[in-house]
Amino acid sequence: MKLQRFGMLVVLASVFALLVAACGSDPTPTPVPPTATATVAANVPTPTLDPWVAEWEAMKAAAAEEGELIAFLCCGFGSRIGDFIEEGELALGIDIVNSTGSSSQQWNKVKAEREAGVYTLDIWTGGLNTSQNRLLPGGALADLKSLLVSPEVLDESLWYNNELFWGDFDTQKYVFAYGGSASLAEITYNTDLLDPSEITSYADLLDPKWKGKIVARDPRENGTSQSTALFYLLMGEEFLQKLLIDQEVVITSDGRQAADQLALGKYAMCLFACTTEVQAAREQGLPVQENFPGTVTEGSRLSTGGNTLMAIDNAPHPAAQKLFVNWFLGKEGQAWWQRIGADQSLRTDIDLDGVTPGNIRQEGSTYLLVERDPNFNDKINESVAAVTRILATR
Amino acid sequence: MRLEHLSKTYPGNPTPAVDDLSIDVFEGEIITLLGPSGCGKSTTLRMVAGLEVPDSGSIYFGEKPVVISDQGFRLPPDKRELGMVFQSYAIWPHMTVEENVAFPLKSKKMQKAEISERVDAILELVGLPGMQKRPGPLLSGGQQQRVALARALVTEPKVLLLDEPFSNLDAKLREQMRIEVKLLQRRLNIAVLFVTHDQVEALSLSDSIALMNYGVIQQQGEPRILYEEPANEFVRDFVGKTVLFKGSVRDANPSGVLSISIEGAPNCVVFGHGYDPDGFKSGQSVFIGVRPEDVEILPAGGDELASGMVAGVVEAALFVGERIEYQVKVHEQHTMIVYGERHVPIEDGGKVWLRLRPEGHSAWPSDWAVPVSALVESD
Amino acid sequence: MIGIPRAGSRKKIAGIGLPSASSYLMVVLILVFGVYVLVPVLLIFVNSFNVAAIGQPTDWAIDNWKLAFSDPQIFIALRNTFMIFGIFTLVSFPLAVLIAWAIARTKVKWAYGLEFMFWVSFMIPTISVTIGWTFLMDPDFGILNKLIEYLPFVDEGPFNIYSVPGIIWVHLMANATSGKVMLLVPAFRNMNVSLEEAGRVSGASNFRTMLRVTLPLMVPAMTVVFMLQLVRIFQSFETEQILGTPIDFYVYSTKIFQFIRFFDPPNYGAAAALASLTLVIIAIIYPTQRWLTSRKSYTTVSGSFKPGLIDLGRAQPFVTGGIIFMIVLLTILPIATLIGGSFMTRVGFFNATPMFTTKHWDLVLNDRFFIQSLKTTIILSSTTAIVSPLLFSLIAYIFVRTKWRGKQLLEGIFWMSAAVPGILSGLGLLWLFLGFDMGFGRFDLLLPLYGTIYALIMVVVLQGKLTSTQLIKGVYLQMGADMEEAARVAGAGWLRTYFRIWVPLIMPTLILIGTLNFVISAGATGSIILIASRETQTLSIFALDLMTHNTGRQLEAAGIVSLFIVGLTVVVAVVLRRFGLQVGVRHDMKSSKATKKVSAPAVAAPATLHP
Repeated sequence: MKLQRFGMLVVLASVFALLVAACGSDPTPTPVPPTATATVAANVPTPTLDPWVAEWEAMKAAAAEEGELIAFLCCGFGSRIGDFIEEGELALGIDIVNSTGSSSQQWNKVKAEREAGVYTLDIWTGGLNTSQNRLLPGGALADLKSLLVSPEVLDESLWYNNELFWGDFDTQKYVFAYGGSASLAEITYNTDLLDPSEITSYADLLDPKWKGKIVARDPRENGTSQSTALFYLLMGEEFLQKLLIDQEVVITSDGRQAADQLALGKYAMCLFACTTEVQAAREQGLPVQENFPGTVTEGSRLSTGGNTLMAIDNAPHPAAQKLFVNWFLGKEGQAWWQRIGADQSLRTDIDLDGVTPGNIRQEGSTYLLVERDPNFNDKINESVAAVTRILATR
Repeated sequence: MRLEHLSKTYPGNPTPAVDDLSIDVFEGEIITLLGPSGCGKSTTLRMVAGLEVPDSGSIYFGEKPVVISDQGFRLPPDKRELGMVFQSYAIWPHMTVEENVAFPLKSKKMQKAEISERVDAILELVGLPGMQKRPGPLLSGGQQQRVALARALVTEPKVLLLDEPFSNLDAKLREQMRIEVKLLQRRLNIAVLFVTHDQVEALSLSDSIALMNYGVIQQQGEPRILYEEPANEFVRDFVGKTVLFKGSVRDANPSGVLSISIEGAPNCVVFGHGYDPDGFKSGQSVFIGVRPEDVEILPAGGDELASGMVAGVVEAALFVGERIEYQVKVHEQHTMIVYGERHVPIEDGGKVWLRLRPEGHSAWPSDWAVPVSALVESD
Repeated sequence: MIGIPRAGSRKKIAGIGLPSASSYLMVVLILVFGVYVLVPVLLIFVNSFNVAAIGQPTDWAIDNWKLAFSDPQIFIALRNTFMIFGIFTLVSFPLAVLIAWAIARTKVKWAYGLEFMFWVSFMIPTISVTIGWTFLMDPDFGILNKLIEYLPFVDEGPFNIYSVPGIIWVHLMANATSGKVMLLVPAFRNMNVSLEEAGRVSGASNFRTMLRVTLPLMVPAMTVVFMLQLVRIFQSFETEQILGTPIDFYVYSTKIFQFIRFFDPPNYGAAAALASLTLVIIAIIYPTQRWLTSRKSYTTVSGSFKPGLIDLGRAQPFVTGGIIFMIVLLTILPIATLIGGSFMTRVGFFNATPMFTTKHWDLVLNDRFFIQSLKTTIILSSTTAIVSPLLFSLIAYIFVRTKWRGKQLLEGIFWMSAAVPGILSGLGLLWLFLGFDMGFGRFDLLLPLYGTIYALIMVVVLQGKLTSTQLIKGVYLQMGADMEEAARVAGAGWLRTYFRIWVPLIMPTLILIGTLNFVISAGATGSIILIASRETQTLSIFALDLMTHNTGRQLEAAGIVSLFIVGLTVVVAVVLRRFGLQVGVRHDMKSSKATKKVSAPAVAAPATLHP
């Protein structure tokens, strides 16, 4: 009867679903047709005497056999990351698969997988603290330095400060910082309510007229802790106490909420890593600005942001991995990344196309390279602890 | 059908629900399991149906074993080929009458045409022609019951189980259905195992009654036997009404018939069957079990008690339609119920004489000199 | 199955009877579910005692636990949790009961349509509702406040969403009310109107009858609903996070969340320590609900079923109006906000340039993975919608209708599945699938499934096990065993009985379960995000990505994805409800007089008739 019909329907539907699932979960991606590689190869100047080009071709061929690269490209790529991936695939002749999720989630996966003997990741780009706190001690990183063979990557004169910035201070081979944006002052503001010339020092934030007019992302969160650390190091705990308690800074649970409130005009300033969201709001025509145009007496800093590169140990596609790091840290890769993201590369031989003006390092200026401090990590923890203490009294 | 030494105790209960019960049901016979609530009759029925598992004992349908507890053998209910009518009828509300009745045939994988035929036929038989398309919930109580019956009979089973099927019907319908079921059963010549707590139903419907209490059969036999010759006090009091007179034995004869004189009525002597394996001795105190209909009530014909009568005073008179029931305080006895004709009412407080039927009573050992509630009634 | 014995002869071996097939099945079920539920929970808790830093060998200590409970604000947070829960339950329960009663028992117009609107409300993500209300009730810029300020005698708008009442309000507007209505209406439909009629005849008003006759019979159903919500008391935190952080108001679940977000690397150990409080709650709830469902009064509500509705007379239009008003608040408003907001450049801002745009739609529809996510969600959720009612009705059957030994243990295991919230459960599942060290070897039975869609299917199908089995249990308990017994005696084997008798009778609940599980699986993130990969990404994960996007939260785009999820669910729900009409019980006429004795058989009234 009707129930039988339904039963058949169920069976059919289940079979169909399983079929679709089977098709959908095909783990092997469609290989890049050889013609594409040939086309790309045709665009590269024919190798004659330069041994590096021959090596490059050999690397590409080896990678093509593997066919794909699995990367976790965490931060600093922006909304056009799809374009970046397309460029990369074109240049390298392999598929690039961008892993999903947050840093935290990705690390949970990688850690658990590794313990089970499962290896699914080749490349990780992300913040310095992730590498310091998780990847490095977790033993998940491969010797990146040994993978770097491209001359233009290894040439230190092409990098800021004439050095290769290794994030792992003791070992100098696992974590390569490639981004270095300048930030003048960590203040984003509502252009209707604040005239930037009013602030010449962070101490001005304690002016009573700003009481209750400052909104902030939660300074205790992982995403904001670098910013918290900066204030802590530059201005001290007492300053933070006065700021958070006396000035009645309003804390929101996320950046978008803070940016909304800033844009609405409820608050004049947004502190603690509001930049990304405020930029988005500004681009939507709202009266906010994420780049503070003036300078503060306490100085500005250079931040790597989320822009460090790491190679994962025991990668499933070692040839592709090697290929990628050499391309990405080279002129072409960095130029593309810079074009698409907002940050500035630490390479000094590429034009500034695509860098947000506020991030550009000024010639002749000195910047506090906060992350150069090997104890920076501890300082971050210290500052978060201090802020937690302070906020607990509210 | 043979039930042999069936026992079942529910977990958590100290006493068994059914205790070493054995019954034979013959082809074409109606056997009734009668008894008060909790006596084990439903449990027994459900064991036959396969809805309960006996702890020990066996069940056979003819030569075919159905349950053999020792061997752990049990035929599941869907393989026992019975028909059963539940107390609640259990008519499936999401099906029509036709679908309800056809259900057992579907399990047998018959052709649609044949199923249709059988359904139509059985609905005729139970008196519901043309109701095929009626949805279950739309039926009246009586109709539901007939559908349940039809469903039970459509597979032409050898055995029909009825679990208090009439208890949800009103009095008139109940009587009507009783007759119909009896006629149907005669026609189809099926064995019926019938469970009820209504003794009138049991008496009228059965070929044989098994009266149960505390999981044990107290007496099994023809209705008449249970009524006239109850095997023990329980049977005596459950089946029909009994009035107890205090008396003492005058004489006993070897066949067990006693002559008894009634306390307080020196000239009144009756005969009854004694129920004591040890026998009765002359002068022994006994209770005389008398059916109220065996007592005639007359207005007292004078101050001097006539011979063979028992004196009493009417305390209350209840008009119940076909007769008057009197509460009579009998001289040197307790208050008792006596039936009187409706045409000749006696007023409250009136003096009366009671004439007992001379024989056919029962005598029960007692030490009534010790106060005991002697007025025993049952319905 | 009801202790209805199985065929076959089994010889005793040395006086010991062999276990029957049912025992084997129970062992299998207990093993499977025991492992699936308890192992992740155990792993999470065991790991909370490991205080070693990353890369260091295990170091057992109670530091995490000390840290978790040494925060003096913990107890304030706990108090806040219970306070919020208590207040919004106190408000939403009677409200939901009234609404459910009105929809199920009175002659409200478009009853089935109205009921469905509450379902839709339930499907809308809480975070969308929260953010929507901030735009309405922000103390400085909320639209409602601004409108009220136009009134001559009013200085300042009265609403402040950033407050405890604000949090409670949002809960009421999100799932607190609609969830209860959704679950209670089918139970109320099971009521036998002749009992209510008896109440009226004896002089009680409609209201009093509801209070004294209907509600006491609904107490078991209401209790189940209450307990299911109580056991999840520590799960909800988004609302409290968004509205509470600015006013320094914290609840227990935000404290759990903070151990994950304020620590680098996240302190899952301390989070687990806090979450262990749920175990205490389960330990109280489980025996209580067992006690409740063992009482006789739970069984049956009707003798011969009589469908009938109460006419409220002149009050009827007001009641209908009231319900419609609730629906506007709970469903229409959020959907309109989602749709309207999706076309705004920045939702809530009328001074953005340009104010309206289609670029969010472009972003979503042109995303490389959108179609894939859509497909995956359809596969996962459809499978769940079909499999879960069948699977869980069978398991609920075991709980209610059999005497199998071990069923209490199995049910307890199901309650334990609520022990670990959100992200922690996802972590536990990750460890379960990837395998773990048992000391004497590795458990990697499920490893082959890792990374495939089958792992996801397994997780989402099983996600709703507790709610589903408890709801179906409730329905079974309302039914007499004789329905099944009659079928068995009539020659139907167990399978036929199940599909021809039980399934049609409980069809409305099965439909509810199917839809509910569809919603849950379509919105699932925490439990699957760690075992999903790019290829097996779902719409919900896509939405989550948009919400946590590194170029800023794509709130509008995430809202569009939510609309797709809601849309899918609506389609599925409509299909299932239509189907239910064919197979379920038909009740569109008046029945016979009520029988003298209210005895065993009870019939589940379906949510059928005209949808």
